[in-house]
Amino acid sequence: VNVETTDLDRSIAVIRALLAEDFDTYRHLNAELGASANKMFAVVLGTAFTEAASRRFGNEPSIAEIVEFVADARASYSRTGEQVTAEDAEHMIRAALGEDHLIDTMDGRAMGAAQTAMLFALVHENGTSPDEVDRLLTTAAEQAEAYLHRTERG
Amino acid sequence: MTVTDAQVTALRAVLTGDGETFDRLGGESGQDYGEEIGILTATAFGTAARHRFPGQWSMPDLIRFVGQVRARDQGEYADINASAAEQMLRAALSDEPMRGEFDEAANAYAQAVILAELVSDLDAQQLDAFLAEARVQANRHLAAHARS
Repeated sequence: VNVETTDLDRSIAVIRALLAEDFDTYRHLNAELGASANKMFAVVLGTAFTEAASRRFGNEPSIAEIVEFVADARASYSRTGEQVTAEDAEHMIRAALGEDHLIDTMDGRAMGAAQTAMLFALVHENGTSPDEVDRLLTTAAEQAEAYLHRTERG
Repeated sequence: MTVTDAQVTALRAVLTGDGETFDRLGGESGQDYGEEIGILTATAFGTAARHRFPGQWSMPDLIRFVGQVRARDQGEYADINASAAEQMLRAALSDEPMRGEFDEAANAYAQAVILAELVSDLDAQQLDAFLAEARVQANRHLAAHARS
C-alpha cells in the first residue's frame, strides 16, 4: 500500500464530507487523520482552496469583490463570522491569487480555518453540483501530488 | 471641560469629507483636538449606530454593513480594519466593552468612516441637530467623569 496515496485519499474524503455538508462524517474523518495525513490534508486543502478561489475570482479580481464575497460568507455562516476574521479570509483569497506576502505572518491554525471556511463558501455560493465538486477535488489532488513531488525533489 | 464649537465643527468636517475645514481648525488651535472630540465622536457613534440598527440586530447584520462600506467605491475604504469596525459597532449597540485589541489609528480611522456612513442619509440640518444632541450627551459624560 502506498502510504501517501492513502493519506491523499483520506484527505480528499475529509474535504468531500465538508463540502457535502456531512459534518458528522467530516468531524469523524478529520479527527482520525494522523500526523502524516494531517500534513497531506493541509496541502490538499490549500490546493482545493486555491483552485476554487481562482475559478471564482479569475486572475485580476477587484478588492471590492473579495471584500463583498467574504462579508457575505461570514454573515451567511454565523460561526464562520465569529471564528474567521475578514482580514484573514480576504488575505487568504488574495494570497491564493498571487499576493503571497499577505499571509507571511499568519499562523497555521488561522490559515486552515480561513481556507476551510472560504472553500465551503466558494463551493456553496452558486450551488456547485456534485460533479463539479468531484472535478475540483480531482484537480486539487493532482496539484497536491505535483506539489509534494516537487518539494521531495527540492 | 466641555466640547467646544471648534470640536463640533471639526467632527462635522470629518463626517462631510471637508478636509480643508478640519485642517484649518487644527492650524488655528495649534494643537490636536483634545480628548473632548474623542468623547464627542464616541457619543455620536453610539447614537448613530442605535439609529441605524434599532431593536434586534445580529453580528451578521454588522458584518454585512461593514463589508458594504469597505467594498463601496471600488474598495476605497477596504483598508478599514473590519474586525475593529465590527467590534466597535457591537460594543456601541450592546453597551459592552470592545473585544480584541486594535491600535489607536486603526480604531480612529474605522470609527470615522463608519460614523460618516451611519449619518450619510442626514441632510445638513439633520446633521447639525444630530451633532448638537451628541454634544449635549458628550458634555454630560465629561461632567460625570469630572465629578468622579
